[in-house]
Amino acid sequence: MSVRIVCALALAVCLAAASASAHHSFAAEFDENKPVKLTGKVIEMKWSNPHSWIFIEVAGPNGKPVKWALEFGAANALFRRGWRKEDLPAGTVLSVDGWQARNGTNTANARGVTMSDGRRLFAGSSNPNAQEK
Amino acid sequence: MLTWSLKSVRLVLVMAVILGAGALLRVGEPAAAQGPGAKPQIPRTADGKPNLQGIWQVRNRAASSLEPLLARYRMPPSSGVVEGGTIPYQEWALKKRDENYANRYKADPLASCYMPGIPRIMYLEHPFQIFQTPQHVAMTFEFNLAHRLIYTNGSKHVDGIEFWMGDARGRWEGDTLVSEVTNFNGKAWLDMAGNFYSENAKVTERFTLADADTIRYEVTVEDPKVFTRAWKMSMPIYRHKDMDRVLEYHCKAEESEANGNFERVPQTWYPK
Amino acid sequence: MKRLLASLFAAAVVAITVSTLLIAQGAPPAAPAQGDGGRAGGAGRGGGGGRAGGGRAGGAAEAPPAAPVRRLADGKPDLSGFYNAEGRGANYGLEEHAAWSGMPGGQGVIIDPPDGKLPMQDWARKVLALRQRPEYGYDDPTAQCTQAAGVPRSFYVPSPFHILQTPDHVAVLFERMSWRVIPLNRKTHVPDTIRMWHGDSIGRWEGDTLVVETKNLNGKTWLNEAGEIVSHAETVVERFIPVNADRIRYEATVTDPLVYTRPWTIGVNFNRQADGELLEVACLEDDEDAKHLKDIKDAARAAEKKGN
Repeated sequence: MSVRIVCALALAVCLAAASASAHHSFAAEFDENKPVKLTGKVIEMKWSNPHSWIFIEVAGPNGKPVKWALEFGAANALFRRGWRKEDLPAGTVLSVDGWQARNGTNTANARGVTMSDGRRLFAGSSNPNAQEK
Repeated sequence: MLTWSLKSVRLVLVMAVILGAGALLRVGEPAAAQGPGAKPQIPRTADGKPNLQGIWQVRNRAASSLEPLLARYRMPPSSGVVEGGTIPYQEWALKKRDENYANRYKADPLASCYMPGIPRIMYLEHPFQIFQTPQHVAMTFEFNLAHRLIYTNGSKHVDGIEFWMGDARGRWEGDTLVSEVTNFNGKAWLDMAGNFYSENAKVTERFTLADADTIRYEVTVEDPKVFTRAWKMSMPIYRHKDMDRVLEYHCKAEESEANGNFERVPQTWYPK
Repeated sequence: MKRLLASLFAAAVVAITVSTLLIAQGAPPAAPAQGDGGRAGGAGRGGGGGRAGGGRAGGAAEAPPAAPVRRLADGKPDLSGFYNAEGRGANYGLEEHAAWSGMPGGQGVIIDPPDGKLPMQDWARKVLALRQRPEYGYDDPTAQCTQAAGVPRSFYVPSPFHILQTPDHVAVLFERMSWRVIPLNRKTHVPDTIRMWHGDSIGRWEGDTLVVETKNLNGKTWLNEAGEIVSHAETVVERFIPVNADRIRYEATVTDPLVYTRPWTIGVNFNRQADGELLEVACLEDDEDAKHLKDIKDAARAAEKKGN
């Protein structure tokens, strides 16, 4: 019940999450009561459907690098919006805010991802015929 | 001895002329009987192209092995379909192929019901159906409900994305459909024996109706990363005349069920 | 007498005019479309775009003036092309619903019954409540790389499809790798013991509407990610109503006497994109989602066992 209230109040947030992860797995996998904010370097990106994954390296509490897996939108949707694999080379610095996995692992659903120049990653469309879902 | 009246002679002469003219004009004979070198009649679509539509399936064992190969567990023997017998692998690739072969029961993507890719899906022992319009040739496969679309509308390959089934663009050269397939993701094998290609492969298919019920299917495979030169396979594909639809073999779902990933839902599942 | 006749005549003129105007504005929203040619945006309508059909739950916006319905040489409407469905959130709930549990809301696609609600039997309501618990996400076949989403779900998952039309068949290639083939000249279905993810379909033209009857379904599919239910008793009658060159109005009546108290109908618009092309959605061997979902399900079931 509380989940519905949270979503209704923060509808925009809910919808944004949904478009990145419009899948039953969201509530099963991720916990909206465990928000995370991370900044790290891209190790690699896996382009797949229904979700792509961005793996980043974040500075851990004792300075050692920690790997995080970020769930993102479907590869085909990104492709239709004009994004390509070479747009996110390894080493790119990203800031992510999202919701952590319920099981406490270093996995998160990426709600918003920004580049170091402030641009939102994979947002918008360079293709006027792109269909968003 | 018969006496011929003038009337009957005239009648016979007229009939002889008619029959003779008919023989000369080949009236009533199927085109196939037109003497040596004549092409069999093939069905054509409204726009004059050979009509490839229908339900088809190979009758060889290329699915086991493209090269000649003895029988192994779950692999019927194959007399091979590669022109010249063997595939011209580079040294590293031949080792890789042999490694694939040794691990084939687990390593073959098809063993886990992933997509067979092109050309492998064309010679699986499962039927498929062809649909044809001036802009597209589409194929729907019993295997895993796969499909493919060959664009014959003059469009170019998609750029910057890769698929199991590649991206196919085709054109008619006379009575042969030539299809060029690129954009492979490099994950599919070519058969159960571990023959493979990479994401750099270009596969050129040629579809010709040898007669109304047979497609002559020829495939040239080019992949400078894997092979020392381009190589070719060819095989007939035969029409199913006793089927009016292709059924479903949803391999991936069956595998999930067999592994216990799907539990029977007694209220909704078909009882068997 | 003359006056009586005159007033009768006037009344007749008014009646004819009014009914003509009503017909021109389209059928009443709540009733499923009849398969008659007059509703399509055919020659009689010119480029007006026609009506997209009722759509009780808001319906589709009136299309801007568009080219008339495309036709093949034999005069039949040409349904071919690359399409996106305006799912209106159907893949997350067929009824009107708010966003929940990380899934998008929906404006509802049920046009019959008029209240827009699924007429479920009681046992089905209980099972649905169970399916909507997060740990049951794994039981949605589409969460496990089963690309064939079923009938009618394949038409409102958020991935496009390509329709090819020949004189004898309509073939639909779904981007989520699966297909449906609708023969136009077949009279009988395959034997009842053959059950499939997309069933067995037979199509025929009723005027400009393609009417498709489907049975032989296997009862293994979910209607959407919300877990809405169909069984192996499901049969479906679909109507593909071309509205103009770039839009098909799709209405599907589902009859499932094991699950529902009566048949119900959904309506969805398909919009054609002239330069659209299918990409590929097929399983990869390292599918992350299926793995996660299975772990969650296994953990939940183990916890259930412990609790007993």
